[in-house]
Amino acid sequence: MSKQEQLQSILKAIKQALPELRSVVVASTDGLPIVHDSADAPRVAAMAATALGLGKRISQTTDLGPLQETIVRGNDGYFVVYAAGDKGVLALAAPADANLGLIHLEARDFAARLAQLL
Amino acid sequence: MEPLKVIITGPVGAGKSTLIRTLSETEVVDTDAAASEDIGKAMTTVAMDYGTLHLGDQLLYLFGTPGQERFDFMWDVLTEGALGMLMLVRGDRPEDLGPARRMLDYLLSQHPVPHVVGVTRQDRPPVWGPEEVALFLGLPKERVVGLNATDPKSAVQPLMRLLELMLAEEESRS
Amino acid sequence: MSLGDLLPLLATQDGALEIFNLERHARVTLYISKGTLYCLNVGGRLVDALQARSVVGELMNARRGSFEFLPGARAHRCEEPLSMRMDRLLVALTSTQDEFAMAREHLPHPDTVFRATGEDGPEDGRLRDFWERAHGLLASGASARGLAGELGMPLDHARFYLYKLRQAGNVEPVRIRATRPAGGRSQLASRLLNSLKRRFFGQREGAWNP
Repeated sequence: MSKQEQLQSILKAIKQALPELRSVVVASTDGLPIVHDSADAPRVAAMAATALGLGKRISQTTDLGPLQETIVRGNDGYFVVYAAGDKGVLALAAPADANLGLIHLEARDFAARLAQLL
Repeated sequence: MEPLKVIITGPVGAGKSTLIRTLSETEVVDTDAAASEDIGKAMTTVAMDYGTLHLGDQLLYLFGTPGQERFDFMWDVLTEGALGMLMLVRGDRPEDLGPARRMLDYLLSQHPVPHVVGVTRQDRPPVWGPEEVALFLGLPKERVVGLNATDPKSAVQPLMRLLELMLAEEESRS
Repeated sequence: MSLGDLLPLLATQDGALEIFNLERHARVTLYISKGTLYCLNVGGRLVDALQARSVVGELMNARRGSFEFLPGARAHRCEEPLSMRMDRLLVALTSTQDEFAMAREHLPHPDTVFRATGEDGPEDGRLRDFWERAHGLLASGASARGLAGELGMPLDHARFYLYKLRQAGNVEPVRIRATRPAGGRSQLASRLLNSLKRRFFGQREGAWNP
């Protein structure tokens, strides 16, 4: 399987493991989409990279240890961003009633798998 | 006294981070990530660069924006409420002037911010100088200055021009 | 065969060309008579000249689609007939497409606001339909995104038109002005300037000569 195909199959696996997700975007740390199922991928990829970049910097400067994730929470849902290795970003959009604990567990696993490919 | 902010913007590789490093008295806080595209360097700003300058009892924040248009939401976030904006362009890369104009037109149609353009790389001809850049960007000549971003005495020129023009505008109004 | 190849062949016929199974469009019907497109129906709705130009342009780029030609068929209700010469339209669209591909890099930001520079419209026929529909909005200032929404056209088409109109001098980007001039800035600017000079050039106030 080509790298792109492998990434696509991970994307599919994420959506199967977490069917409540509204969208999934895998991006480079400089904001370019790699694989996704979002209608607005270019915009979301850039914002996720910015959020991760800022999150890492804040975490470092305020001595929080390695960044786990960055969460934006609105009335109608969550946007959660994880690092996928040094060069990748995994961003998930979830509904307001989502089980974040479960999402984190699955997402970290997938982020590690993505890190191997990116 | 309330701190003021000056925004440093411009296309990728124009020298924004370099300029802030030259002018800032504190160590510059950056949010760099590895560039996955070929932009001529390894790292690129994905959120902002941040430096400070104390002028008398006034604190000045210097914020650098990312250059790529996909980060245009950061251009807006950072430019909002700025004292002024410096756009940097490289004089030795005419192909960057289109994107620079697009960025400038966008920002100036959204934010009434005093602005000056700084043209870097003036040392190696053939090169676009301040006059040609002013013509292309549709700006009056006095708003475009040449500079060397690594030399503090030169790097401060666009900032001084910005303040001079603000002064001149106020004087002409009264 | 792509629709880009098909359309020129049918352009001289009399009848209705139905195009369906398109990725991005509902069923499109072109009513052609004596080489002239006089009516265009998209998903049951008749469109105006500007939108017709847009739709035909998109059809030429469509990668998938089925068609059926009904010779002699005429449009039943066509209150405001278009009168677009098919051959000219296709040539204009082809050259526009090439230009569009090359201009991609130079198109303005979707939210940059442009204003008409005057009453006069463009000479170029391709831009005139757009100017007719848009110049009212452009008189007070509009962005490509705003125009695309108001006129029912794809964003990139609106950006292209603004790019061409700017080249022709019919529009210019707006420089927005503060609603209240920031008074008292001169004192601040003056103080900052003096501090900068002292800091970087070690000079006393008033000793500067640019």
